[in-house]
Amino acid sequence: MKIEKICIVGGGTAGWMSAAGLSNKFSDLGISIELVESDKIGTVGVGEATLPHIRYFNNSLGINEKDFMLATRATFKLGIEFCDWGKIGDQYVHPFGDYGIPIDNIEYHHFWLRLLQKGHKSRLCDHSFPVLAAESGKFQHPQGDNNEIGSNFGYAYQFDSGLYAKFLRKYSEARNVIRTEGRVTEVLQNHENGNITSILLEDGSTIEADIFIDCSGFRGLLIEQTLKTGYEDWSNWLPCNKAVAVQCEQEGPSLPYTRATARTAGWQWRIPLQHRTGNGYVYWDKYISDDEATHQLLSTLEGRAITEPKQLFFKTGKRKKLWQKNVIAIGLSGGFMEPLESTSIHLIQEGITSLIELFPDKSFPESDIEEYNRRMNLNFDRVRDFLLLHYVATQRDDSDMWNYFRNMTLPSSLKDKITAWNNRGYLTKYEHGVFHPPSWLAVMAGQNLMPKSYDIRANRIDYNIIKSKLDSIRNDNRIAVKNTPEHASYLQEYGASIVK
Amino acid sequence: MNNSNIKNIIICGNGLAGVITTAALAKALPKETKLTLIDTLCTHEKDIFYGNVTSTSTYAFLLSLGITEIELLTQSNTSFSLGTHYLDWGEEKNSWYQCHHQPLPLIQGVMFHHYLNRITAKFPEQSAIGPYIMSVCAANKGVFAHPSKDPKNPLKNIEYGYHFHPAELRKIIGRKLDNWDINIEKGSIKSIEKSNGEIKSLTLSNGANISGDFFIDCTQGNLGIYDKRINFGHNRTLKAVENISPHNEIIGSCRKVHGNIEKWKSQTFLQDKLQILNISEISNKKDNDTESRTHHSTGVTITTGFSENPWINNCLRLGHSAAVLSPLTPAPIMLLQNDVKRMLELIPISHDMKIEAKEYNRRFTEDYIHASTFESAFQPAQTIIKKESYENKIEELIYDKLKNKIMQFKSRGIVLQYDLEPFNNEDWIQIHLGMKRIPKRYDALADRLDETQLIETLKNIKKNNFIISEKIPPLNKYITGLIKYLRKQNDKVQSK
Repeated sequence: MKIEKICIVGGGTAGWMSAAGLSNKFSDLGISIELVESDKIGTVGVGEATLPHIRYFNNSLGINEKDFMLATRATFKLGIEFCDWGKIGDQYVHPFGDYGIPIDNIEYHHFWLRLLQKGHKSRLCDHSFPVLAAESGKFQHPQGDNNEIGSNFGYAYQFDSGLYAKFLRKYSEARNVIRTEGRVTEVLQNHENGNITSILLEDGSTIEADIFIDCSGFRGLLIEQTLKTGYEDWSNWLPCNKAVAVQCEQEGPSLPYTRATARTAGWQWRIPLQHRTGNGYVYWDKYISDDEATHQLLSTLEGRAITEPKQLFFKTGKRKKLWQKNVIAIGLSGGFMEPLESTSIHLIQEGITSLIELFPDKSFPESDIEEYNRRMNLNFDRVRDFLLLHYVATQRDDSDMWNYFRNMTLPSSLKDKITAWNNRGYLTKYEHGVFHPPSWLAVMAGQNLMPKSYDIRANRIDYNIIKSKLDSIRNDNRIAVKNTPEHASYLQEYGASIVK
Repeated sequence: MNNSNIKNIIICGNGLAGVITTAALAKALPKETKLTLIDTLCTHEKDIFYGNVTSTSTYAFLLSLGITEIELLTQSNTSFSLGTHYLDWGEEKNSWYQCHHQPLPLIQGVMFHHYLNRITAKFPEQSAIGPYIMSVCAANKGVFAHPSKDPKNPLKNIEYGYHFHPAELRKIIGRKLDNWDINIEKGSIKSIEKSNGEIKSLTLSNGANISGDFFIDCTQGNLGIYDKRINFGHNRTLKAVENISPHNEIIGSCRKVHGNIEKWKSQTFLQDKLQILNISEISNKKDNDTESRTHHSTGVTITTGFSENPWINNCLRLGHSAAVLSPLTPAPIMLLQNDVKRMLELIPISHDMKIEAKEYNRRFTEDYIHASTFESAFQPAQTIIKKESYENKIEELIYDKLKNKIMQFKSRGIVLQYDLEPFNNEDWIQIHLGMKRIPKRYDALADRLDETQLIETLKNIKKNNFIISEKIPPLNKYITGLIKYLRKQNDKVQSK
């Protein structure tokens, strides 16, 4: 028996992304979708910065890039700049793209390491076009040939997630998604199988559905409060548990990258949109008071604050099952990890695409649920390891928090990766997961983990040939960046800027 | 100018694994690293278990060893292979083509096979997958052509491997080694000098004492540095009987295999010969199993399975000393290539090789688990799902993964993929469908396409594949033509 009705509970980023994704695929298959949200309940508006994968999501919805960028005041994003992570004063960019190109099937960075160890020093960043473009505040779309410098990189966006939700609401409503205003007061379950059958709203109305998408935020109204699924607490790995966020005016042109600056008890984000800059301080309240965190945030803003500081608290981790019975938790109800690598929206997207691929029928086969949970667990676990890397690949010892990380026993999967890198510049690979070897390379090299050695095969080619090859790649990058327009003017010319 | 303390690498054994390993190292390492290949004066009859079909990755792999396709075709009787045709397989007598192919088209983001499942009740004649796969159409006719670069030509979807004979492949690589002046020592191993668990040197029957920093054991395990109890994941003793005869008939572009997982026979068309390989499982019971006893005397036997720790201290086992897979699929040669590639990525740089060994062993074990999962999929789904007792943990892991894969496919046509599996979606879709594992449901989104439009699309793919397979030449004609053409090209270059 086919599912006839989907109910989405909650209308933040996760809710409307789910509504858009599901209505795009299912509204012409006779499945009706209803989304319940209450204007009285605020949304968190997770991560305003994204990963390149969001473009696939938008594309599959048939969304025009310019329309989307105009509606959400979006800027382009080439990567994330990390400041003060390895040690105070350090800076590097984690770009969306590879460094150089393999030579004789050997990863490029081994040649870079070889030159480095012979005293020919260069920043790894100089071997990446998107990094140099970001640092110069420049952007243009990758051009035609994928093999050429200035073309083989990815990009994402920085946008107002509240406006994105609105944009997707319009999209969804045009595809027959019904939006109902109201607070959920009661959740009813089937006595036999425990499935949720309907929800009651404040005004006494009832919404029945076959499947429920829980986008109700941290509290997990259905997945946790009703189904008691349980939460896997990861705060021993990622102990930051609070954040304070504030928006400020933008000084200067909007930049094509996000910044994450390490602090003594957490880190601070800066996300430039077209019309304002989003800022926030993620911290561990054991080592800094709320007031002090707010003070630190406000005193480091680059422009005048235009909103009141907003306090958030969270527990890092994930729901033990993201799909339980007929409820799928997408967004904060499913789990939370600090937005250090802009993964929140990505995990929402993964949840939606996996659900579409594994969309059940009314019998809710166990095999669908198992496969969904297996995939999502893998996604979460691997993001966790990558985030943790930022905290442990460091020489910082200037605060209790950094000392906590220095003394931490790492998950073995992460420990082995770091050891293999430190020993010989070897990057462990996996297939399923967001962050691939270039990302690991960016962070490990960017935070001063310098391998003792490198792949001996890199010695086969004559030193001078390698040197001139790498020099010419750096040079080509510089020239390509020179010929790339300023980000702000490119936005305007492209027709995606609200400033005409 | 060297970042490494490993100056001396000894490769022990010059069977297929040994020569491939040596060639790969010679091509990859800086000239300062000394390589010594030891010809242990053994026969290489067990190389037959590397099988006779390769995967699609062999072209690039051989090229990385400095062996071009034209050398392969002119210096051995290697031929092209589109895959394997399994005939009357198992108790259920299933027959299907298992061919190399680019990913099947996604239609509106939905995998192709879901559409076949959708129409199966109403249009059963349109629902078999074979005619939609270009390489299956070509294999069916015994024809062949290289993949096309024209995006409109269905041949763009073809992928190919080779039909080969391990002894011939070994000879070609051996000749390369001779040309490259690789140091080859001849002599069986008389003694192994060790200290602290590490091999220091080998004394050979010719009196030579060969010392080295890193030893690669490509024999049947002669270096014996490790615990001999190999933990076999899928422990069976196989016997191979080979029969090679000249043939004049038109040769096929696809290997033929009849039988069941315990006893099967393959026919492989090499350029000038037909190779027939009979593989049978020998009962491990030492009772009155007369049949196995009488046949024991002829043919070559080997026990399948793999070690969990092929790399211990400064000795890496590579090839049959570490793993034996059944040649039922291209897995043996595929994984041998993977072993070599993995070894190259992890060539040790100091005498402390623990990190390299750990990572090699991890990836090795995963790879062999996945390959064994694919091989195990040649059993009926019922046998797999009902299986409850396991010889060891590895076998249990293999069956866990396989059960999940079968459950997902049978339930709704999901092709469950684990990290970095050697066999891809197309391989799995073909074997599942070939073994009649028909999904109960299909992707709901497949219903979004209008039925007339769908049938039209399907008919077009079929028609185009058919037209092309009528046009391209039989394999033997193609090879003769290709060699003639390439020789002419070569002469032209030379005369210039």
